[in-house]
Parts: sequence; C-alpha cells; structure tokens
Amino acid sequence: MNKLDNWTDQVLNSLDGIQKAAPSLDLLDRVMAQLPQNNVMPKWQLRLTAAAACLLIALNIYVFDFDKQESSKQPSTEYVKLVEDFSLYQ
Amino acid sequence: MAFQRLYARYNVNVFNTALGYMKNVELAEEVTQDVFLAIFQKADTFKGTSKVSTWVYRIVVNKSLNYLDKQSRRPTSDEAIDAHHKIDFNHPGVQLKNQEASRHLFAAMDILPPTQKTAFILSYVEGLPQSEVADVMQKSLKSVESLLQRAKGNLRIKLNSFYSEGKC
Repeated sequence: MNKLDNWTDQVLNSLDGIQKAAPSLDLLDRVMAQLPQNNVMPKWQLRLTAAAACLLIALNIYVFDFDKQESSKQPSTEYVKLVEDFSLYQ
Repeated sequence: MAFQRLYARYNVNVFNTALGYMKNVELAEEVTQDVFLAIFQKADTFKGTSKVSTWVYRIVVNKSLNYLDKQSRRPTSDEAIDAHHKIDFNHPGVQLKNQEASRHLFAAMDILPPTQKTAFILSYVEGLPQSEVADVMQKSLKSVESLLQRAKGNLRIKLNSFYSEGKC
C-alpha cells in the first residue's frame, strides 16, 4: 500500500470515535423566544367557543323575535285605555 | 412542557446532524432553531407511523439540504465560495489525533450529491445504524449500503486530488 492510499484511508477513518457536538446552552431560550405565544387556543377549544357563541346569538334572536310577536298580539284598546287613564289634565 | 422535553431529548442530535452539513456552528444553530420551530408548528401532523427520532431526523435533513441549496443559489463572491470550500472546519467532537485528517474529509464531502452526503453524515457523523438511516431516507437498506459505497468512492477520488494538489 503506498503513501497516498495510507493517507486516504486515514482521512476516511478520521471520524471513528467521533463525539456528538452540542449547541450553545442559550439556544433553547432563542427557540422559545421565536415560538408563537403560549396562549394560543387549541383548535377544539376554539370550535367549542365558536359553537357556544353561535348558540347564544341564535337564542338572542329567538327571544327577541318571540318578544316582538308577543307584544304585537296585545290588543290596542288596552293601550288606549291606559292612555286615557293617564290623561290627568283633561 | 412537552416541547422542552422534546428539545432536551433531540437538540444534540439535531445540532450535530446540521453541523455535519453546514460545517459552521452559527449556521448549524440557525438550522437547529428552524427545525424546532417546524417541530412546534407541525407537531399535530405527526401521524406516529414512524419513530419520533426518524421524523425529527427527516426534518433536520430537509432543512439542512434546503439551506445548502439556498447558499449555492445565492450569488456570492469567489472569495466567499473559496471560504466555504476551505479545509478548515474542525468538528468539535473529533478526536484530537484525527482532527487534521477530518478537516480534509469535511472539505471533500462538499462534492457529494445530497443523497450520498445524507447517508454519509447520518452514518458516520451522527453514528446512526444503517437501518435507521434507511428509515430516515425512506430507502431500503441495500440502497443505503450502495449510497455509502459510492460516497466513499467519490470521497477517495476527491482526497486523491487534494493529495496531488499538495493540500495535505
């Protein structure tokens, strides 16, 4: 085996017994600083909140509509009578 | 926090693999940062069909190759290119007696195509068994063996040219 082959083999085997290199200790802090803020809501929670909001809006519409219908059913005479009752200065 | 536990478990593997590709501590840390951000963002897409380590290695390999690809496309001066191909990278984990030789090896690795480079780095820098390299690269064990053989052949040719140019 000539000198060149010896050298090439030595280079090719130079990684024998290599240890793993570790990053700097502050790298985790740098990674954490780049993460989106931890108060991100999980998807299931977001969906639940949206569903609850929809339900609340629907209930409001229903109650508002029901109330409107009820008030329109009241006889107008009652209202006139009430107005008359309060006509104190006539 | 689960993320911190994952970081503690894999940061050395990610950094060491990235360093094999980048040959620069700052760039390897940049890749490591990107890898963990990607892990955080893609955690819910992990299907559990492979090992977590395999998934993490796939991310670091892809990120590192993307970085190298971007670097090679970026218009740089001849001096910058020369600096990148310089025989001066000392991997901090290489044994003292092998440091001089390993500088030549890391410089020669530049000529390897991405698949050969990946097989070589995962096997010899990161020290993974060939079966795990095959899983990471989504190739058969035979393909990995063949990639490693071709990588060594190409490295031998490059090292011979270093020798004849008197760079050793």
